Amino acid sequence: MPIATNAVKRGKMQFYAKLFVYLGLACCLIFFDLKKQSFSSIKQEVSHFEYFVVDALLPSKDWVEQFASYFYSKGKLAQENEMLRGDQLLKDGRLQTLASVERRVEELQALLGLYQRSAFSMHAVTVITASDSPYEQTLKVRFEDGAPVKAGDYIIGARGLVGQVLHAEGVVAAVRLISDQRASVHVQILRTGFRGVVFGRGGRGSLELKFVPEETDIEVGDVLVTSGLGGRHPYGIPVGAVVSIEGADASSFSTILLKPLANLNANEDFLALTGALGNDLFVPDN
Amino acid sequence: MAVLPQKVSNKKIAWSIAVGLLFSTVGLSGISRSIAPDVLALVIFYWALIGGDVRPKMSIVFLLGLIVDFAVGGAIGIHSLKYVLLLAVAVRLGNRFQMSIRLKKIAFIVVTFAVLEVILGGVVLMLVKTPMDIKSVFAAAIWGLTWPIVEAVLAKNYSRIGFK
Repeated sequence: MPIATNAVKRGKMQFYAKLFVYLGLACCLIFFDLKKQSFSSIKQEVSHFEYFVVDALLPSKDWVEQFASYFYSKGKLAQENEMLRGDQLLKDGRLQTLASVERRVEELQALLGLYQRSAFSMHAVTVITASDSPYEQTLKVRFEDGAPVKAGDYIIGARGLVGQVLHAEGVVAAVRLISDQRASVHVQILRTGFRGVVFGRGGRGSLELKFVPEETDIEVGDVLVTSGLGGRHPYGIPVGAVVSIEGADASSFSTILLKPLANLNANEDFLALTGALGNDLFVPDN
Repeated sequence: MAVLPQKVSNKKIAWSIAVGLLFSTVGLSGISRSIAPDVLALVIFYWALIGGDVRPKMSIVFLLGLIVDFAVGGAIGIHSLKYVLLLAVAVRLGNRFQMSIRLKKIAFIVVTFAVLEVILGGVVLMLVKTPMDIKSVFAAAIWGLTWPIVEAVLAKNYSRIGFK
């Protein structure tokens, strides 16, 4: 028989011998402990020692628990913070929706007020699309079937003039905003009665009163309204307020910039003035 | 045969056993002792399975079991019996274990722990007629599912180990 096989066999024998010894020893210990309670005194001593160790280690245990609880609470706080942040975002969204609805209701109430205040012909229009290009500032609006909306009608918001109908077909009309580069409105300064023409500058937040001699009495904050000249459109629809006046070096005209009073960007509902109108539609605040 | 091509130092095994001993004696806060893992048993079994020549010795395992028994206050010798049996199973079936696929390895560990728990429960039942705690059998088996974690840690730290 080869020597290697003998060595392996001997190793196995040794292993099993050791295993049986230890298993036997363990079984004996179990038997003596459970049946004879041989180790109860040792167990008692050990438990005393344990109490002593636990007492000694109690402060450090507290410290460890505090340490763990610090990290646990920190993690929990971070988790709660994350949840609250998500909740806040959701609520912010809802709040913004509510604010938008509130704003729209206010706008509609103002338009209704205008409608009720006036005995003149006007029809509600709703924005379908808007072009915000600097070269073309237009809206497409929808109105109720049968409403006599036609080219040239003024579109007004609760605060003032928005634009003019370019053409209407069916229940849809194209509207050129007063801020369009090609738009012009004949206006009058409320304070002085000076008349002029306001042109769009291609941006929704900006208008320009052109060809105003430098010596003209005009101040920042002056409100300009439609002049009503020609009889087709009413007098007194607010158009814009002066925001800056600059004298030009090479010209005898001032550069006067205005801010439209109507909210050209945000509103969704306007009124189309479709009939002969009087001059008492808007009552300026100041 | 050394299973780990990159030999694990005895120091590392000693440290892991010390940590296992600490957890097995002190217990894990928040987990009832009947379902808490016997961390030392897991450590011993895992090292015995993969440690090859550097696996824990039977005498040391026996002594560790005695320490746990005295510390926990249970039947003296029960943990010694458990650890010795675990070591014996690991020594006899370690090579076959190494050759198995991961699922078989997990199944082997789970079954070993469950069977061992039943054997120990049976021994106690035989001697003092204490009913076997079926929860502890399930818990012991379930803690055997920690093997993939151990395997992942070892694979990361001992890159030359070819785990199947």
